[in-house]
Amino acid sequence: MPRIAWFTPLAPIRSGIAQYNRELLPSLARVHQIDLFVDGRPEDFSAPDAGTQVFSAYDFVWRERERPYDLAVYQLGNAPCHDYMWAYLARYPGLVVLHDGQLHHARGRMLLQQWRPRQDDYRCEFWFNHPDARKDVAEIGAVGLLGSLTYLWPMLRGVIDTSRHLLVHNEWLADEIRETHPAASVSVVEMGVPPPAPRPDARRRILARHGISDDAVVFTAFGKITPEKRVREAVRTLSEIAPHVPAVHLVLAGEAVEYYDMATEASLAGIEGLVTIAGYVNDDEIDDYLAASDVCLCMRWPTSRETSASWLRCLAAGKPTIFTDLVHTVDIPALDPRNWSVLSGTAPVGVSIDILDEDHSLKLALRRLAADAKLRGALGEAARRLWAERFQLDRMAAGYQVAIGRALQAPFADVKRRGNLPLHLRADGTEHTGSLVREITGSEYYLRDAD
Amino acid sequence: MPIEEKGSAEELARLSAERDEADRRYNEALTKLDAAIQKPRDIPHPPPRYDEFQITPLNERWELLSLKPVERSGWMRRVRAHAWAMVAPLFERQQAFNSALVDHINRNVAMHRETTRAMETTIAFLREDHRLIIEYQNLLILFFQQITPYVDTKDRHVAGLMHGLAGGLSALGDELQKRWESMVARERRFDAQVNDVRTTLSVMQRAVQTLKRELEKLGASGATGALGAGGAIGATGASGASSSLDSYKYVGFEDQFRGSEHDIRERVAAYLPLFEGASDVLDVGCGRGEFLDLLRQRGISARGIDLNDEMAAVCRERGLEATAGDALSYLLAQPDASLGGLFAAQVVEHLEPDYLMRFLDAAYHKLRPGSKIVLETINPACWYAFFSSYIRDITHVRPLHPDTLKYLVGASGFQKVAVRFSAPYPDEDKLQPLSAKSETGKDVEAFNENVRKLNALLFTYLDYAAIGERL
Repeated sequence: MPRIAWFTPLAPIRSGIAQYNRELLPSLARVHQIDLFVDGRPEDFSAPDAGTQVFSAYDFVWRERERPYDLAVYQLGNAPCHDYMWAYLARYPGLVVLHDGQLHHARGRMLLQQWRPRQDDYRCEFWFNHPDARKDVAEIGAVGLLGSLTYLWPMLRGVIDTSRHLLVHNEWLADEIRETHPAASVSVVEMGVPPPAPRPDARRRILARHGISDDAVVFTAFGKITPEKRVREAVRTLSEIAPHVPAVHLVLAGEAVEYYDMATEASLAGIEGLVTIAGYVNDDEIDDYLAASDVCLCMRWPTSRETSASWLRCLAAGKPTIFTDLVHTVDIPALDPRNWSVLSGTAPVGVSIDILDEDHSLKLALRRLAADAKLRGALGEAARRLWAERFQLDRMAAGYQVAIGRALQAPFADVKRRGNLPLHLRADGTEHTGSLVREITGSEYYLRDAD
Repeated sequence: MPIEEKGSAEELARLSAERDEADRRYNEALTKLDAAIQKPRDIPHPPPRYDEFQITPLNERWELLSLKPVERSGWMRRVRAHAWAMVAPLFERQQAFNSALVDHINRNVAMHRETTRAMETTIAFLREDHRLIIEYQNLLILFFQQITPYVDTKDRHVAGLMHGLAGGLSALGDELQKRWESMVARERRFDAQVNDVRTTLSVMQRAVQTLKRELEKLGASGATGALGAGGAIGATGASGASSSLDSYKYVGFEDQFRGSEHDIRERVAAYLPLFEGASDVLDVGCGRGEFLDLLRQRGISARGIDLNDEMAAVCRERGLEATAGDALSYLLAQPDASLGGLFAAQVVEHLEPDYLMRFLDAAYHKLRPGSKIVLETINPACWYAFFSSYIRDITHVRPLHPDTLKYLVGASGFQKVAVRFSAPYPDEDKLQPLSAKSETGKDVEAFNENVRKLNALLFTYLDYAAIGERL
């Protein structure tokens, strides 16, 4: 049974990837011996499966030296909870599960938003990742002024060059990687989620908790309330259509952030009574909120080409969804609200919003879905079928096993390639200790690498 | 001195260093200035006021002659007068002195008063002036202290403008990315629709081909040949021509002119990736089985068909599955959609046009959807290939121009038809260009060499005779 070191955020960290791993790991732990490495004290985290053990990432190096793992798996994303993995990625090449198609924000945050910004390291890393870009671009990035332009330079090369194998959740991202890094070894495994299990009477309880009328058509947006979720646009649009449609209500089932005050926004739009900010919803209650929803808002812009697990949960729950028309989701059967034609496939699962026509399309979508229960039903049924065909958890777990197999067969990333990494990524943290040991003992024996 | 690029990292580093140095010097100067501010000092007080206490008594008492006795009668008058006469000169002198003294004192009273007032005024003025100087210095320091925030606010204002500019650029970037996203999403969807149309077209072509085949069957079963002489499969030149050759002789011909087995393996190996993941591949004209062997090594199930018995036998000896027979008949005998790929190297040039059409039609029906057909042939559009290779083989029936074969394959229902050229003519054997900088002698030499090559290719001999000798 292969031994795997698995780097991932875990609950109680409020991250979609923590929940994703909680769902995925039990089936993989049956066929692999998995040790989980987290950022912090192990006792603060709970192992998602009895067969797995949780360790601090600081313990990885000596454990690896004591008894090398067959593979390291990195659940890597663009959020701060993944930052700790960078210390191991290059030194212990493994299977990198790339949840986002760009890591520039993560690297910028790690290198620049510190007490002493490491602007030189940032520049080196940028130039390494994007040797074809004009060097001046790094200067704008170094002073934190790239803004949305950040998405143009994803800074993936370091990860790709040092991985034994890559796993991504959509074909578009895989194609992008193959095109820009022909030597990369990539598997595409569609993300999967378990079927929902709402508690009895969930809808009535949730509506009653928030004082929402039973006959209201409930639109729900899941996840942290950030500008990327296009909640402001939804609130604004809701205020415009509310007088013209039957009772509607918008539930924001996610943690609010300071800089994006939707309560005030709703108040300014005069619909504070139609908007409920439920706050952070724990994993146990997500299915209840899904059950309480008639339509789910799963919009996203800008995008890092991530696959939204909450959107898949909506599909699994048989809910019609409104989502942004993105390049990596064009194969999802959807309706265009401007003429209600089917954009792709034959059985649309939701309404796709052209980002260039966002306000207008969203208004058309909300108005129709608020009034047309039959359409909601048809979209929901198709959504459930699509989930059953493509996005079940078991399918993802099977895909993971294939990808792990490929990673196990792949050689460690070429050391020479690693040699080209910027110095700060090559450093393993023992340099200073090494210099002291050399000075005192005249030998490097004690720090000799196990491999 | 190297030229510094505007906005470069070097320039930014230099500006930053200059800024740090100026900041340091400014703070040092300000600290020194602060230390040099005057402190309030004790200004001398004015002297006590002029003592005028005795001025009035002096003025009242200086006159002595007023003491002269009053004129009365009697002896007392005479005594007094006598006494007076004795002291009067002294009194007069004293009074004169007193008068001068009091006058002097009276005259100086005003001066003393003015002096005191002047001193008081001067000291007060000095004190005020000192206070004002200190106040001014403090204001000066405050002023200098304001310079930093003033400059900072200017910096912040400029930074604010930069942030505004950056925000604008970010918004511009966002708009561009939105347009890109929308456009590429539409493009991908359009591609998918084109594929749908392609699939529909494919189905329709399949239907047309099936209809055509049914019509041909009807024609063949009729009393008169509706398809004409060319419609008879057995009358194809390929089988006729090939069957007229002794099999063993053609094996020898292949050995001598097509290249060694090793050469052919290398040549056909380039097509292997096209059949990756396939099964049930048919190699038409499999020859000595080079490609079949490569497929077997890749774990791809395959079989061969060759008109030449000897060739098929060679294959079977190597453990490969091969049948001797006519390719078209063999194909037609296969169930529809039973093949996972078709490969034919150096075959189609041996086929009569009518036979080739039927062969392609049959291949279309026998191949499974998603499988590939690969037909390699000599490129007659290459002069050398035509004259050196094509016409060497007497079993070649008709050269096929790349455009012609591409069209025929597409017209038979296949899609994504492409032409891939291989076996490039060696660069060193091509006509050599004249060197731009070489000496004239070498140019002439190169030119003459090219003329020689061209003559050898174009103007060799009009006739030839093959002469043999039996020993």
